[in-house]
Order: sequence, then structure tokens, then C-alpha cells
Amino acid sequence: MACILVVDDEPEVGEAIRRVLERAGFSVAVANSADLGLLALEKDQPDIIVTDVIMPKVHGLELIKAVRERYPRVRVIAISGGGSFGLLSYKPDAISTHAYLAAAREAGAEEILTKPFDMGDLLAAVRRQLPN
Amino acid sequence: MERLINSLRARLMSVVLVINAALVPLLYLGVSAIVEEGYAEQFVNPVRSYSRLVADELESADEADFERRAGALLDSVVLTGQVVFAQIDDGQRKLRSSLSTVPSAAARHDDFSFGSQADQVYYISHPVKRASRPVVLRLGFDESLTLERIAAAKRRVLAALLAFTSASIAVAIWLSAVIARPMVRLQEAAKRVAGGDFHAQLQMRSSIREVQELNHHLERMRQELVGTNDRLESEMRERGVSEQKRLDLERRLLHRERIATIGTLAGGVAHEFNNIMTPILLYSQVALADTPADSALAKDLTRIVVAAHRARNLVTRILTFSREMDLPPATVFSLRPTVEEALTLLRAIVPANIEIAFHPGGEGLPVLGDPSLIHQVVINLCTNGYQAMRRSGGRLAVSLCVVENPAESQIDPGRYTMLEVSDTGHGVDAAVIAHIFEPFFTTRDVGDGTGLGLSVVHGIVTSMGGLITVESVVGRGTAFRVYLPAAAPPAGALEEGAGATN
Amino acid sequence: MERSSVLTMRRAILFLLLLGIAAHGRASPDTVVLVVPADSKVIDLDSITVRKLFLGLPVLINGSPLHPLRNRSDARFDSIFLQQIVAMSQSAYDRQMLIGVNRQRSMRPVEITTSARVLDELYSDPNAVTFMWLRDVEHNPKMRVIRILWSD
Repeated sequence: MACILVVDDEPEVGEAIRRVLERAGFSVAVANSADLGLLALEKDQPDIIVTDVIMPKVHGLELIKAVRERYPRVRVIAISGGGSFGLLSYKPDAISTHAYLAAAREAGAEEILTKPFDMGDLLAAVRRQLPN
Repeated sequence: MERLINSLRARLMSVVLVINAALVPLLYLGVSAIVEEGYAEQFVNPVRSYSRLVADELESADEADFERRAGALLDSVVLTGQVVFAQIDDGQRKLRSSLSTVPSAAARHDDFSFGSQADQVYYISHPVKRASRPVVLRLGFDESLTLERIAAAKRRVLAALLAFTSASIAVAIWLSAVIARPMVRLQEAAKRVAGGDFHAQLQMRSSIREVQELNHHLERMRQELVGTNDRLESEMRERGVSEQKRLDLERRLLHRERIATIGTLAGGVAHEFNNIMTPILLYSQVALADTPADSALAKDLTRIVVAAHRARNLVTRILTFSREMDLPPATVFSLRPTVEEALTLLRAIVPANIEIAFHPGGEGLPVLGDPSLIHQVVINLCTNGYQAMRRSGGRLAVSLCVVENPAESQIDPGRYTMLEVSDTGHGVDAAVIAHIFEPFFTTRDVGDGTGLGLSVVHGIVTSMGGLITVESVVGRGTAFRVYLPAAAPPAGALEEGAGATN
Repeated sequence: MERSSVLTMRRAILFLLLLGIAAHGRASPDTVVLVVPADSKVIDLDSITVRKLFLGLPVLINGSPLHPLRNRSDARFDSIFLQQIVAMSQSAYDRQMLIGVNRQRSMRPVEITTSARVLDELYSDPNAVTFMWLRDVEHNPKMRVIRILWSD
């Protein structure tokens, strides 16, 4: 059974994703920050990591970079809220979802999902990345 | 014209007539008296001498031949022409010249002054002492010739005075015309000037020096008026144009800021909204999958999913709108023309007591991004600066320079273009600086600004991979520094980018 | 002067004259006579001498000069003086006087304005010569009438 790590600073988002994936039969771990995500990576050795790109402190992008460096086997699905534009003043670090998602793909994410995504899209993306 | 001449004429005429009415009778009486006196003197003196002479002649006449002598003397006296009556009276008999034209009976008492009697004869009698018996010589002198001369002289005086009167009336008429004509011309010119034709030259040709001077002064006044008027007109025109321009720019700026604000809000809200929508959509889809397809619950859940999709599409549409308005494709461009353009706009808006200085510091490095966003950055920072100096006035300095490996810890080393905007305003304290880039944070009065300006600036700068710092001393001023990373452009992209700012 | 002002004066005089006539009766007409003090050496003066005298020219009788007194006690005397005695107009007389006095050849006659003073002068100066109404001297033994100057 494939193991999936979900990293999102919004606990509700993380739990919703867990619910979808567990129902589909995956083993799921949720971390609410990039730091915790890195720890969980070490501990759970997931096959796939679903991570938010825009998070406080350690960036989703950094997490992706770290995954690529240390766990080249782990597939990355990057998710982010917002559309394609935003001077996201609430979170000065997070400027443009569009830009970050582009950066995420550049950093090595295999899949890109824009919040709010459908359950089907998420499962399809996960299944595409499953090691056969 | 006619009215002025007539009133002037009437006035002058009345003056002339009053003077004449007072003067002419006085002069006439005075001159007449002098004339009469002169003629009377000329008459009386010889008449008295002459009669005395005749009386003396009689007194010394020989007694023997007295009657014959006296008769001859009387005839001789009458023959002089001036004597009309000659008589010798010895108390019993009256010896009278037969040549006398006045009858004896008409003879009166003596006259002692000329012209006092209606018969126009001046009688003088002389008692003549004689040895035998005294006689009285009585002579009557004709006054009529002298009286006629007096009357003629008086007529001449009267004629002269009447001539004087008519001459003065003529002069009054002439003068009224001479004075009125230039005045009428002046009046007409003044009317034209008053009617707005300031170029109606005042030309009062007149031989009267005072009128010439008046004309000269009025003409100078008119020329000054024309000058002042032209100056005022052109000033007003200029002011109107610049005022219009200023209002236009202000409106455009306000519009831009409003759009940027909407974009900012939309972006911010969308992010949160999408985070919230994610669990709603996922849970409702999970629940739907776990529910028999034909159940009522499945229908309800389907409705939630559909509604969530609609919400997502709405957000996407809003964001698309924002993107279209505010996110043109990134280009490589040079900062300088963009900053200059923004400053041009600002110069039209800032009050005169604020000086704007721009130090371009060379062309700077090309940057990657959207020139219109940089435009917005400059406008926002400068607006913030001049708001701080609005009352006191001061100097707003904008400079560009290239910085290698800036000392700021938050950004990576490398080549940056630094845009600095500093003011000499009131400055802000550290507590304000801590929140200065937060949205809706403002020190301005409500309604004076959106409170989003600096947060927008911060967002733009960060989105371009840059950094903004602020440094402020209370009472001295504030300086914002924007570091923008240098882009490595392909050849020719610089010109293209610079061109895009226009 | 000769005419206008004298005219009214003349009328007034005529009026007074009529009053005088009414008082004295037609019997004694107005007569002006030349008089000297009773003790004067003057016996007779012809009209030319009288003129000389009153024009201020010296007239000697027995070596002593006569003193002319111009009697101005009656306004009528002025006209009578000018017309009958000096036979001149007022201005001619004035001019004559001025010329004579300036040449120091003559003296202006003494002018007296009251009858009483005229009489005083006559009484005190045997060389005085003057004129007055005949009626004022007719019965005065201290004076002598030399000749009639004018009679109305």
C-alpha cells in the first residue's frame, strides 16, 4: 500500500485530503508545516508527497527542493490556493500562486493542482505517480 | 455728441450771459457817465469864459455909444453860431439881438450845469456894472450839438458792448464745440474699451493742451489695461489648462489605484477562499461517493458540489479579470524611463511647496517585470512621501543606482538596481514602521487614502523578487529603498522593455 | 459831474430857493454881491480884477495885497463862484489853481464854510474881499457892497 504525505499549513485542507486518500485506500500522514513535513518524510518514507507551495517560515518550494535532493524517489504533487494572480498581502511571502506553481514545477514537482481541486483530479494525479 | 455739445454750450452760454448781463449795463453806465462828463466839461468851460468875456467887453464899452456898441456885440455873439439868445436888460428896456432864434419870453433863469433843462439851452447872465446904470447881460448857448454828440458816443459805446456780448457768445459756442469734440471721441473710445474692445486707441486731436495731456494719460492707462488684461487672460488660460491636466491625471491615478486595490483584494480573498473551498469540495465529493446514487442525500451533496464548482469558477473569473487588468506579461525593461514617466505625472499633482528631485544615476540595470507595476510603486512611494510633507513642504528625492551585493540580509547577493524615494517630512516611529506594509494600515485620515498603497508596493516588489526597506527618523523624514534584481536580458529586449513603458 | 450829480443838487437848491422866496417875498430876489469891510481901502473892482483876485493872483491896493475869501457857506455859492466870478468849469478851475500854486505865482483863496466865520474874517481883516447874499449885508454898516456878481 502506497504511503502519501500531505503537507499544508491549513489543517482543514490537510484533513480533507487525508480523508479522500484514505478512502481510496492509501496510507496517509499529514504535516501542518514544511518543517514537520521534512520530519515526516524521514519517519514515514512516503511514496508521494502532496504539498502546499505557499506556507509560512519554510517555503513549499524549499520543501520540494529538499525532497528532490534527499528523496529523489518520492513523487511530488504541488498544490496551491488562489488563481493565477494575487498580491497576497496577508502573507507577504506568498505573492503569486501562478508564479509559485510555475516555480514548483521548475523545482521538480511532478503534478500541479490548483485549489480547490476535485477529488477525482487529486486521485488521478496520485495514481499517475504511483510506482507500479 | 449733440447732447454733450448742447449741454456744454448751454452751460458756457449761461455763464457768458450772466457775465454780460452784469457787466454790460455797468460798463454802459460807467462809460456813459465818463462821456457825459467829458462833453459837459468841454461845453461849460468855454461857455462860461465866453459869456464873461462878453460881459467884460460891455463893462468897458464907451458910455456914449453904448447902445450901438451893445447891439453890434450881441449880433456878433449870436453869429458865432453857438449862442441862440443874447439880451441886455437895463431894468426898463430889453435890448435883444434880432438874430436870436429863441424868443425873449422863453428865456429862463440861469443854468449852472449842462443839459439840465429840456429846452437844450444853457443860460448865463452877468450883471454889468456901468457908470450910468447897471445892466444884465443874458446869453443862451445851444446845448443840442453837444447833446447829440453825447448820444452818438453813447450809441457807439452800446454798439461796442453789444459786439462784445455777441463775440463772447460766439466764443462760448466755439469753445463748447472745441472742448466737446475730443471729449465725445474720448467717450466713444471709452465706450468701446468698456465694451471689451481694448484695442480701440484713444485719439483726441485737440489744440487744447490739457485735452492732449488728458488723452495722453488715458491712452497710457488703456495700454496698461490692455497689457494687464492680456496677461491675466493668458494666465487664466494656462491655469485652466494645467488645472484640467492635473484633475485628469489625478483621476487616472485614482482609477489605477482603485483597480490595483481591487486586484489586491481579489487576490488576497481568493487565496483564503480557495483554501476554504478545498475541504468543502473534497468532503462533499467523498460523502457523495459514499452515498447511494439515487438517495436524497446524494442529490443534496451533488448540489453542494455544483455550488462549490460555481464558487470556484467565480473566483477564477474574478482573478482572470484582475490578471487582465494588472498582470501584463513580464518584460525586461529599464527602470529609468518608467520612473521618469511616473515623476512627470507626480509633478502635476504635488503642491508647489514640494520640490521633486530625480537623480537617475545612469541607465541602471534592466529588470524583469511589468513597467506599469513599477510605475505604481513609484507613484505610491512618492505619494506617501508628499503626504508627509503636505503642510510643511519639503524635498522629495528619487534616485536610481546599481548596487552590488547589498548589505540587506533578507536578499541574495547579486546585482540589484536600487530605487530610493526619500522625503523630508514628519517621519514615522518604529511602531508604525513595523506595520507599514500591512494592508489597510494607514496613518492618514480616513478617506485620505486606501491604506493599501504601501502593501501593494511591497507585494509588487516581492513578486519581482526584490526587497523593500524603510528607514525613518521622526521629524527628519523617511526613505524607502527598493532593490530589484537585475535581469539577464536577451539582446534587444532592453529596448523592447523600455518601449513598453510608453 | 457837471450834469448828473449837480442835477439833483440843483433840484434841491431850486426847492430851497422857492422856500426862500416864499419867506422873503418876491420883493428881494436872490442876489450875490462882492463885499469888503467898511474900512477897506477898496472903492471899486472891475470884473477882470475880481477874476484875478479869486484865481489867486496878487492884487494890490495902495501897496497892500487883498485877501480873497471864498465863501462856501452856501452850496449855491460854488456854482455862482465858478460861473460868474472865475468863469470856468470846476475842473478847469482846479487845474488853474494847481498850475498857479505850483508856479508860486498865486495863492489859493482862503475857503470858509460858515457865514459866521466869513463875517469874522471880514471884521478882522480890512484887506479881505468876499461875496455873499445881498440880503445878509444890506443893513450891515460894517460892510460895503462893491458890485453885484449875480442876480436871479
